[in-house]
Amino acid sequence: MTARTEVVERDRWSSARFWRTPAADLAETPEAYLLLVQVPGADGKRLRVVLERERLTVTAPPASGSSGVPAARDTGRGRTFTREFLLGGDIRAEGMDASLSDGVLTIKLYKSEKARPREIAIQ
Amino acid sequence: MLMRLYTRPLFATPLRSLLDPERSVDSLCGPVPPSEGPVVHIPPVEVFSDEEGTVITAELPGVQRESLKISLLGDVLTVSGEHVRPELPEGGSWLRTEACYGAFSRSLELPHPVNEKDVTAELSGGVLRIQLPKADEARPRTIEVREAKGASA
Repeated sequence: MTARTEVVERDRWSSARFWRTPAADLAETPEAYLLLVQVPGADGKRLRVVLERERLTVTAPPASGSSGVPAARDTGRGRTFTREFLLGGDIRAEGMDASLSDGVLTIKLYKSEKARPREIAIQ
Repeated sequence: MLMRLYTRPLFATPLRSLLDPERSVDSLCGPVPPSEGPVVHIPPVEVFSDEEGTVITAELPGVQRESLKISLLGDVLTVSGEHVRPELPEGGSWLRTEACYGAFSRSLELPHPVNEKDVTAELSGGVLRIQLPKADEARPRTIEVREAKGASA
């Protein structure tokens, strides 16, 4: 019924028992796309954001000690967040920014020159 | 090469599911109560109890400490607050939202009494951790068995 249930289902079918799919928000500004990935409890030092061709992969292992509470059932805490995003062709490969704050990873993907809005001067 | 002409959607699989118009944003944020009041999200928590007390952790990514409230009434602990949607620079717009923004609230009945002054809470990296040690009257006490006076050895 809820998204949470669906994630569990997906995990079961893909046998990805050690992974967790983080929620993500997407926003657009005139010069960039902003991708906000929710990775509560992630270890900032071991966080990886890899852009390979058009495939952006986010891997965020949990901070050691953060999941020190054994749960009565497996709720997925303590698993590594991982998610892949396929980008369109209008992203500039270089100059990607990523920052982690309060468990939210913000990735700024700059648009290529041709994808930016252009103002045309009227003569 | 035609694929490259896309400007939107930015993402194909596996984000396709969230670009599916059939799937509403609300369905991603847990059950919506069938009331006419404002929608209040229910954050997922983990609860662990042992002989020392109870530890509750809640995942609240992006939630600021100032907008978080923890209250204890009797043996019911309530965590509530608001997850404020981040502001976008001028000219920005949201294309897709999976995170649950807005008010949230979660109440939990504790399995044992606690002393209010011993409760500690910390928010770090989007995870709230509340430690609730057992009140002294709820702790098991060891009673020493003494030898009865005048008993013959």
